[in-house]
Amino acid sequence: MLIARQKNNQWYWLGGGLAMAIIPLWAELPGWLLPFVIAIYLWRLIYPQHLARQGKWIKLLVVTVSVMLLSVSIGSIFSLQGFVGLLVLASSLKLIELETRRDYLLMVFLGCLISACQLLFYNSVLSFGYTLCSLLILHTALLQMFINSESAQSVKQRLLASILKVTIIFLQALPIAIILFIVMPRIGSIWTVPINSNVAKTGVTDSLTAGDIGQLNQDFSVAMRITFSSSAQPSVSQMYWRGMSLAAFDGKTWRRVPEAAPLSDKLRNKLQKVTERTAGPLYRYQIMQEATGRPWLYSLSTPIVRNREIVQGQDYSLSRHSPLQRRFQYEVTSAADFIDNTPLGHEQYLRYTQLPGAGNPQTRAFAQQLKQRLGSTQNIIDFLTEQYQHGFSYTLSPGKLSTENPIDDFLFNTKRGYCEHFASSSAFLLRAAGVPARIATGYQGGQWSTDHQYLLVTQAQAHAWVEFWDEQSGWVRWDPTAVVAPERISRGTSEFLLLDGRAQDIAALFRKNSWVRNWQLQWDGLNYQWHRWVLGYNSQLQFQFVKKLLGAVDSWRIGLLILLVLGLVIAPLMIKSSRKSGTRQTDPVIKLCHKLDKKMAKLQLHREPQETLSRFLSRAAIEQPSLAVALRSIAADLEKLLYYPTSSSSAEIATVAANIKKLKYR
Amino acid sequence: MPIHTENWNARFINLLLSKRKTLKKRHQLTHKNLFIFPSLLGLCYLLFIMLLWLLGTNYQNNLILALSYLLISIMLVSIFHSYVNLQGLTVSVAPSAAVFCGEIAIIPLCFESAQQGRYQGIKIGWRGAPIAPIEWGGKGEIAATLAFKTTVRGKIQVPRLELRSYYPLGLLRCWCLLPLDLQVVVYPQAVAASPIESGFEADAEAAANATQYRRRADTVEFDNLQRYQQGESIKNIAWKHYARSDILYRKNSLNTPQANTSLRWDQYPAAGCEQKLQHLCFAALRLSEQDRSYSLTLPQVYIEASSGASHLQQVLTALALCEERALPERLNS
Repeated sequence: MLIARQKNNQWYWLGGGLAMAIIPLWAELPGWLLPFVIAIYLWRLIYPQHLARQGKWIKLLVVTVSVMLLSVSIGSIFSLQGFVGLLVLASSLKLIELETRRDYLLMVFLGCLISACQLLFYNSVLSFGYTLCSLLILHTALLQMFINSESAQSVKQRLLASILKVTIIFLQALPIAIILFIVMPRIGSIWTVPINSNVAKTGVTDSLTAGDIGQLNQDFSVAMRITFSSSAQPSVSQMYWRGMSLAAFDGKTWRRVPEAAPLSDKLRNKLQKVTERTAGPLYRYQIMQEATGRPWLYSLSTPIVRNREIVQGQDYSLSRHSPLQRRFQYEVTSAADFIDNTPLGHEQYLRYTQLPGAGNPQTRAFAQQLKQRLGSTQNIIDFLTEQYQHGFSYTLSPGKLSTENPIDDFLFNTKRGYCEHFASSSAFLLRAAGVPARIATGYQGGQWSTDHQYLLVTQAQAHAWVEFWDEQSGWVRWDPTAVVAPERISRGTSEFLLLDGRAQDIAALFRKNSWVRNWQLQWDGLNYQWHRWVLGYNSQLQFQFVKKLLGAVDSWRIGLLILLVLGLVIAPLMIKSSRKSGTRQTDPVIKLCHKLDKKMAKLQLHREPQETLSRFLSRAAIEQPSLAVALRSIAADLEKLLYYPTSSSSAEIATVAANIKKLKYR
Repeated sequence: MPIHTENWNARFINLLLSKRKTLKKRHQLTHKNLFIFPSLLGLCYLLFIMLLWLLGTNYQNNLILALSYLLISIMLVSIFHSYVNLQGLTVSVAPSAAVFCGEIAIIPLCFESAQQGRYQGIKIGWRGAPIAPIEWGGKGEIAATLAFKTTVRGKIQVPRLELRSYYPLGLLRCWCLLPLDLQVVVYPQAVAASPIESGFEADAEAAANATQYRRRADTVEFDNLQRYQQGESIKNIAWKHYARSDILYRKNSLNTPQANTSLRWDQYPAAGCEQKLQHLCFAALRLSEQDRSYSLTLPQVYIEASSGASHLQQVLTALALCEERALPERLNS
């Protein structure tokens, strides 16, 4: 009866651990699998024995049908989902015939593997904590197999004791694991594996049409996080996280022109030299970009990177060879005052002044007029700035523009819009006036974390601005939106939205509440550190960190560190156990007896368990005649101390102790 | 579960044990006599960790990598937990009663823990034999017995006592093989001698008697027959009844004196050395049952005729300890 109950208990632990491992995966697996697993669990709970006795053929049929169903609903068994689905299926089906001890142990391992697989899909702090919890439960199930099954303890007591034991083991293992995580070398993929390619494409696109950025403004998800390692930092209003430049315009949409050649080596070397110098505004920073499903990367102006995965275009924009399927971290150095005024080639001049054959006649005429009247590019810019400041306004809901001549409609009629309208029309106007111009897209600004450790950029900060060509300064950034609505730049979109009074949804109201906002920032701070130090801990970061920690990266230093941590963890355990093993004696006479036993053992004389002290000593006196006299006197003294203690005992104890000590030297 | 009869494993353990062979009546488990090695489950666990590490490395997933490091640390930490579980336990052994060869000797053992309820999942057994769990019952000191099957006579040293525990997680086997200072006196197995071994054919006088009885078989009847006992004179055997029933009977004539019987080594000339001892053992038990006095003559030992339990014990012990070397060469027959 007791054995049966204990078995059941173990089963509950195992079942609980397995269920905990499977539950978070349900979103990744076909819908029918979860009810199927639940049905098996219930069946097992209601008829614990019945299930195992099913015929071989029925079991085989269930297995075949469910595996086929799985492959049909997932598409391919040889994908990540297929692999995890098979694991879940196997563990659930194995429950049917969980009979022997070996099955039980196998299931514990399967459970551990499934809960580790969860981390292939989710990698937040919470999911990792959850995985640790399910591993804890599964290890408790393991412990249940190897402890005393005594009736003296109640079941509840035993459970508590075993959970406590496993928790202690986990807590002791944690520091060692952390050290191993920090110092163990990282090797790249050994073979290619199917990865989870379901990353939705988000962020800035490579084309710009009316409405695109208006939509992005509602999205407060994280785009990237930036940490500056240089003391020089641009002010937030000057942080233009440039992604790419859009040069081709068809009258409605600006598009990116795929560049044939990367940045020339000559310019690259020149830029490299600038970044090596110490003076001047030089920004060093690390960007952690969220997965976008696209290859483009963002940085401040004129960046230089040492990462081989990243290529740099002629317009200084950065991109990666492959789209970002996961978070990507890269180091950038930007020389803000670097000037590239290499004259534009004919082809390039045509590209940056190209306009569609027809459309927006009013703007074209106005541009020609400006060119004749003002002459230099700078004058035109100044004039436009003044124009924008008077009469134009920034809004996220500008209404529809005419489809034939949208720029004419915006500049001369509605005069209301957001960054995209201003950038698009300004670039058009400049081109119509013969000034080479293009649109740059990316993000503007950011929000410092509460401890000012890093800058958080959200999708709401997506932005577009203009770059025009100047013969002396090369490409110059000009943001017409900043002219129209400086508060959009200085305070960020979300707050602008609140001021605007247009975003009245509950989420926005919550954001208004300062402590909710504060808590949100704290949480994001934790997440950021998690991403930066745990998820983004690569071999590069590892080398830097270990060097900082140990002074140098040597194998002996690393080995010593591991041993040190191991020693620190184990020391309390060993000290506690060594204290336990010897029952502490307080009686000095008993202590004396122990001392005597020890000394005699050194003289190859061992007291038998049943032997009394006096009998032992008289036997010893016969075996070692040379000690006979001393032993007899010790025996007499000890006898007296043990059975007739008097007030003068302490002096006698000292004499006996001295006599015992002398024994050694004979 | 764990396979510990593997050749290299056994050889390695023997090497370790060769340094730990002081026989002791009382052993305390310390780092000097405890061994820790991954169990089969532990090896599977290591394989599983490898699998996780590969998964983490290939998917460049730091969390799965961290998990594999955590599991290896758990294994590392449990080494110490498994050591602490057995460390400090004291095992002592008390003398065991003598048994006849082929019987099972019960070895009384005593386990003392330094702290109540500290030791978990301990199993005991002889080295290489099946092991059984010991029930602590929440006490600090318990007595347990272990059966030891005897196969040869003599003063037999008990095999090493194996204490084994898979606590805490079953990943590691923490065990020790203690050389106990305990010798069990194993008497020879009591085996009745067949008449051939009793030297029936070798004895000329008996042969003559036999023909005589055969002749008178149909006419002479003995009304007072008793079972023939080893050591009695062959002259009194009722051979006729033996021929009929295959059982040796003694003619219980009144003039047969109840004299001292002597058990002699050369009494069974046809038997081998061990058989001789077995037959002598059987005879001694029989005589003792009948409360008769008897003496024992072995090549090197002579025990005066006497009777009683202590005499029997003396005789049996002499038989058990009879040294093989000192015995004369076995007769060929």
